[in-house]
Amino acid sequence: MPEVNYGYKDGAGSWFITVDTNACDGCNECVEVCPADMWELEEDEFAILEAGELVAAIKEEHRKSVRYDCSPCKSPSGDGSGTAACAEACHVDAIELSW
Amino acid sequence: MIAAGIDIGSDYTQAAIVDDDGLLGIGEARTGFDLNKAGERAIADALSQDGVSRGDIDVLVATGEGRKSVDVDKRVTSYTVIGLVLNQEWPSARSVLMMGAKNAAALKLSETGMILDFDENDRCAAGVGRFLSDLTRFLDMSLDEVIQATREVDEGVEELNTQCAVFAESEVISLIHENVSPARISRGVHDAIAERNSALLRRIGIEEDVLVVGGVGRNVAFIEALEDIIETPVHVPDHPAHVAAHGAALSALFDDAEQLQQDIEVGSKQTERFSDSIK
Amino acid sequence: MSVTANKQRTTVRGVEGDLYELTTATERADWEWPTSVWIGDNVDEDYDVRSLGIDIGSTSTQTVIMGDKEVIAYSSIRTGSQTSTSAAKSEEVIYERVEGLSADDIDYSVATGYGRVNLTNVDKAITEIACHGKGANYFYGPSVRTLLDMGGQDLKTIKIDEKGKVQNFLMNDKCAAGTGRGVESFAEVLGVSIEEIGPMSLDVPTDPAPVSSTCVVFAKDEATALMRENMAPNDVAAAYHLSLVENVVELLERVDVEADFAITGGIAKNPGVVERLERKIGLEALEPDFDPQIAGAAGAAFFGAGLYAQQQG
Repeated sequence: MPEVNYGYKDGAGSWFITVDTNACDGCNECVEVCPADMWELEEDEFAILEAGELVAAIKEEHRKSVRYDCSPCKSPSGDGSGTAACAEACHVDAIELSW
Repeated sequence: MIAAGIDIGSDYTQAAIVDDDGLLGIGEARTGFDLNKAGERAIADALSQDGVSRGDIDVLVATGEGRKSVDVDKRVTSYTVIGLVLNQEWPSARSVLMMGAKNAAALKLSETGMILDFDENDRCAAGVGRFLSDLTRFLDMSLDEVIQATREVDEGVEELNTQCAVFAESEVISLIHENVSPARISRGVHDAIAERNSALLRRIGIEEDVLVVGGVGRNVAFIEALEDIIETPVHVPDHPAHVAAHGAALSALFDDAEQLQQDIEVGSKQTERFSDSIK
Repeated sequence: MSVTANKQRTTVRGVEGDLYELTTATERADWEWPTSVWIGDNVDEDYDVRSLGIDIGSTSTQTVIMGDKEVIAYSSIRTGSQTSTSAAKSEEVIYERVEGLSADDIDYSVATGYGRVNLTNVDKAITEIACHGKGANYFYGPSVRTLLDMGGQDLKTIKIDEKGKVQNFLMNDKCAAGTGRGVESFAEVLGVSIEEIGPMSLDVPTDPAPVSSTCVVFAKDEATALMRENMAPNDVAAAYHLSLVENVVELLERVDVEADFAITGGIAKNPGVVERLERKIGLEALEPDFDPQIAGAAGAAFFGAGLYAQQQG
C-alpha cells in the first residue's frame, strides 16, 4: 500500500496530490467534503496476493487537470494560497497537495 | 495625432493606425526573425488602406511577446490595452478569451475596462492557436476549408487528447491513417481546444458578454465549439486579431486614462506596469 | 508483407536462447524499435506452472512466458490500433516459433499496461506500476530501490522495497516532455531518428545551456532559432537532453532517489538521457542484461505464477 501521487507536470509547473494509502482507512471524509467531487474510494490496486482494502483515490477524469479542478480550494497560480478541504478533513494526515 | 500600435506575436504581427476620430487602418505580417522589420511590414500593410504615410505617424506603440525587442516610442502590456479598447468598442465585455499562436489568456473586465482578474497559459502548447494552423498541414487543407468542413459535422472524434499537443498530434496522424474523415478529425480538434480553454474562462468566471479576441477569433468553427461547451453566447469584435494592436495605438491617445495608471495585481499575480515609456 | 528475421544468441538471466529481430518489407517509422522474439533453450522443459504476462503499452506490447518463475520466452511488438489484436499477435509470434507450445499450455495469464482493461481472455489485470516494480526486482535483484520508466507516452518514477513491492510512485502521462514520443518529436526538428539523437547529444565539446522550455513544442521552436543562429545539431540535441533530464530529475526527487537506481522502458536505450541522468543524481543506473522493455510483462508473469499457486493451494 504505497504513497500514490496523482496529478502531472507540464510546461506550466507541477501539480500533485499525494495519498499515503498505508495510513488511509477508507473513512470517506475527503470524498464528502470535496467541492469539486474529485475523490472516490477504490480497492487498493497494489494488494495482489492479499485482499485489497478501500482507499481514497482521485477519480481518473480529474488526474490530468488537478490544477484547475482544485481551484474551488487552491489557487491555480501555484503560490500555495487556499486550503484543500480534503487535506484538512483527513484525520490521519494522508493527503498532501504539492502547491 | 496619429498613433500606430503593433502587436508582435510569436508567429504573426498586427498593426493598427488610429487618429482622434477612430481606426484608420489595420495590417498584418508574419513575424519571422527580424521583429523591427515585421513591425514595419505590418504598418505598411495598414497604411496601404488609408492614405496616411509612414511619416504622418506621431507615436509608435508596441505590445505583445516581442515588444521589448523593437525600437518604438512606447511599450504596453497587451491585457490592459485590450481592456482599454474593448471598453470603447464593446463596453459590455466581461469575460474575454485572448487566443494567440502560442499562448491563451482569460481576462475579467470591469465596466470601465479594468482587469479584475486574469489567468494565462503560455508554457504549455495544449489549447493554443498553433495546433489549429498545424492541423491544416496534417489534413493538407487550407484554413478556410478546414473551418468549413468542421462546421458541417455535428460530432467529431471523441476523446481526443485535450492536455498535450504532441500526443494530440500523434492521435490525429493515426486517425488520418485510419481514414477517419478530415471533417470529424477537425471537429474533434476544435472541441478539444475549446474544452481546454473553457477551463481558463471558468477560472476567472464566465460572465456575459463573453468575447474571443486574438487570431483564433477569426475561426468561426472554434467560436461555435466554445459556445457549445460553455453554453453561453460567444461574441467576436470586428478585427479580433487586431484588438491588442488597436489598444496599443489608442493608449497613446489616452495617456491619462485610469487604466494606464493601473498596476494590475490580482491575487498574488502582478503584471508588469502598464506602460514603460522610453526616452 | 514478407518478414525477415535476424537471429542471434543471447542470455536472459543466465539462460541462453535465440533472439529474433523481425523487420517487415515496408519501412518502419524511424521511432519504432524493432519487433523481437526470444526463445530460451529451456522452453521445452517440464514445469509445474506456466504463467504468461502481457504488457500492453500505448507504443509497444510485450509478452513474457515463465516456467516456474523463470523466463522461457518473450516478445516485443509495436502496439497497433486494436489492443486485442496486438495482444494476440504478441503471443502468436512466440507460439509460431515453439512447437508444442500454445495458449492451452498456459496455466495463468496476467495483463498489465494501459490496454489491460480491454482484454477479456486473461485471468487477472494488474496495474503496471506493481508489475514494473516486481519485474525490476526480478531482473536487477533485491538491491533496486528507485526505478525510472520512460515509455512512449508516459513517465513513471517508482520506489520499491527488496521484494519489489511498490512504496511510492508517480506517473506523468499528461505531458510529452520526458516521454519517447516527446524525444521523437524533437528529433524531427533535427531530421534524425530516435536512435541517433541520444549518441549525438553526447558528442559535444562542452555542454551548452539547456533549452528553457519544458514543453516539447516550444523547445522545438527554440531549437529552430538556435540552428538559425548556427548552433550545431549535436549541441542542439545536447541542449534538449539537458532540459529533459532536469525535468525528469524533479519527478524522481518527488519519490526520493535512493540507491540502487535502474531504468526501464524504451528510453533506457537512449544514452543521451541515461548518462546525463546519472551525472545529475550522482548514481549509476544498473546495467540491464535483458531488454528493458519487458520488465512489466515479466512482473505480470511472476505475479501470475504466485496467483496460480494461491488458487491451487
